[in-house]
Amino acid sequence: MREKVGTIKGTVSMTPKQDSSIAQTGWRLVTMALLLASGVGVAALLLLLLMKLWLGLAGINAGFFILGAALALSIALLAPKLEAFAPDARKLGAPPFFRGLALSIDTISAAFVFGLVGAVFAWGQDGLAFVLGLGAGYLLLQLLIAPRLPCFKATSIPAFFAERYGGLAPRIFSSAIVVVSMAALLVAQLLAAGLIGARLLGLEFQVAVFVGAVALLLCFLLRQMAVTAWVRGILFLFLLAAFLAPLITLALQRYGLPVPQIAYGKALWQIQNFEESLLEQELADPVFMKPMLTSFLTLSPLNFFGIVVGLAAGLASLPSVLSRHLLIGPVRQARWSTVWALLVAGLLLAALPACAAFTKLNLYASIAEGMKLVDLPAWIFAYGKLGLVQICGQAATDAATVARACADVPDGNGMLRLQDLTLHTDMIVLAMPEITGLSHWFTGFITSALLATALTAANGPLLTIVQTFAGDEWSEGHPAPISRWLVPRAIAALAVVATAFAATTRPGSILDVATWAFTLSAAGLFPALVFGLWWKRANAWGACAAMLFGFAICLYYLVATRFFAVSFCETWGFLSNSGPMAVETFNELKQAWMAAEPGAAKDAAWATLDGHAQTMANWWGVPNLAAALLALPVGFIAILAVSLATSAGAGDRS
Amino acid sequence: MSAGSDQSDKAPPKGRARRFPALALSLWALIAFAIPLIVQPLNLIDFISFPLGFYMLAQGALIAFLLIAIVSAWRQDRIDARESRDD
Repeated sequence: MREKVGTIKGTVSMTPKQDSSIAQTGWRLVTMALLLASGVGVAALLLLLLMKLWLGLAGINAGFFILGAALALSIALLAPKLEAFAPDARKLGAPPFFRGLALSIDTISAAFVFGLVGAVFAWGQDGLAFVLGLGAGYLLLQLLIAPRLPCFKATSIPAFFAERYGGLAPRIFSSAIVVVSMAALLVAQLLAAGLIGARLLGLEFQVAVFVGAVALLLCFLLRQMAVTAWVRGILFLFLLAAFLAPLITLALQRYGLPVPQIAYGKALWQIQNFEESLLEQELADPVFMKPMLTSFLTLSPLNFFGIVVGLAAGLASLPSVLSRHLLIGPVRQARWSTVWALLVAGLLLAALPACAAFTKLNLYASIAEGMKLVDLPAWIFAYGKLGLVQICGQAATDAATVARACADVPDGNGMLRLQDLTLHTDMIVLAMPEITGLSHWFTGFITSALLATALTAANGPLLTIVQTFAGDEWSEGHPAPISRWLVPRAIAALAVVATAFAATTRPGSILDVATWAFTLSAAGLFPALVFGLWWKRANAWGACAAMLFGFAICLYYLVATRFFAVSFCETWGFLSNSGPMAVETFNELKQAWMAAEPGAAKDAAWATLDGHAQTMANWWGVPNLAAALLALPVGFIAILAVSLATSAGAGDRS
Repeated sequence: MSAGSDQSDKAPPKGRARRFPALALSLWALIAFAIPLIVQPLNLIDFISFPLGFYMLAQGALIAFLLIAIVSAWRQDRIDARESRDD
């Protein structure tokens, strides 16, 4: 089997001559992409104007959706056709800068754009854990993985484990982990695509997820999946431009400085002033308010580390990234492409908190000026209809619902107060131009760029899943052309449908699901990967133990604390950090649930009980987003102890 | 192509790093874990109109990571060059 992989990669061995022809192909691709982009741009403007004349505002929104999907499709169309399902050898020709751009769009993707802005908006300074975690991940990738991983012949993560440790077991365990974590990442991208579809097309969220899924599958089938680094790199520049344009406009308008990354420092101080004035005017409750500049309000220091470590280790062991960026090409290329990735991702990561700060500043300013409940801005209802804005505990679908819900609230005086308003973290990115009073066009371009990013970035996890089930080894064994053609596509379709169904249940916010995907890959793969690269003595038994225990604990913890919180609390109540008050409430709610009549009352009682249980379902106060804190030490100890206890393994190359 | 494929399995593949990057990793850990702890006192200091602690978390740490990445990549390049001269 090793020879086979070798020959596949061997066919593209780099002589200088081929190298230059690859680079020529690459530049031709870039030129084509730019020409196509300007063509699409002109066509899009015409389309948008026509749609506006024809359908008004709804038409323009639909136009932006079509624009985003068209962008993703044209990117897929530009990819050269491939014979094998291995990472594209032609990507080798892309210079490190383009590979860095592609690497950052594969890791940040639409999911973390939504997530980061939402987290900083909702948690203030604690939300920066995600920025720090992603940034730390690129450096970890560069220091630990890039210097050695490209020296292996394997083209996928399961194949790497088989090559390094030998035997079938490491391959099977790692395949399972790869599939689960990639499926979670796919769900996160589909959640993002669904949200954009729901906002722009006015569809039900569930329907919009399937519209996104169809577009994703179409992109995948059009060109056998592998989109080259050249073209994905250009998409990253689009995304960056779509974000920087509104932020620069805001920074210029307000602070006369066209660098939003620097200008939002002033906004932070203004937010602090508004926080004080809201409290003085009794428009905010100190219990609900999370001051922007206070750390460790939402996360304890330990949990902050947990998120940073989970994201960093997850990024450094993300199967879609490793197989598409690090298992190909010479070491030197890999080394510098991670440096470039850190630089360009840093530009976006530094701008996203500015997006959150400007939005928060505007929201606080308008609440402080007095926002009458009878005269709420339009964006509240636009997102209320999607179930993302709650006022007085009810989804703010229209003015009448808000009035009814707030009539029951004690000492309301007809003004919107901060504690009455709940904004879902997923909506902040999309609503930013509306909340800050920017033109509708900015919303359109941000959503188009995000949709294209979600669809393109989802290609990576999907390709990795297909590769795991029907990779090179599989196609070598099945020479019948029809099964070689059909099976990978059937697997892709199945994976997309399954993850789309999972996404329609809204298992969590986009940030949650994306973080779970990273945490799962960190917990399952990181210890075995790092020890495999740097410790000769690590053997197959140790690697299997690390993957099995680390992944099992992580998966159990994530699923049990989120979806089976009540039984988790009953089983592990003694390890939880919740106080006696919370336990008492839990018992009362449980009594209420058992006493309730079957039917709607019982369901409502269960929802309250489950909601409360989720706040106290933990071991030693570790929330499920920081599950890496529990799983990574287990994995490291397992590989150390088991490797030392068993004899030095066969198949050792390092 | 992957440098390992054109060499025998015994010799370490070309360009493969020999030494574990212990120093760079400890710097990484220091930045990722120590900065969040001292954010609150740092916030009292003003830095280009930012509260310094917030700035360190949001951008300072990224800049530091980038510097470490550049230095380590550059050093590895030099080691590579020296080794290929020795061959």
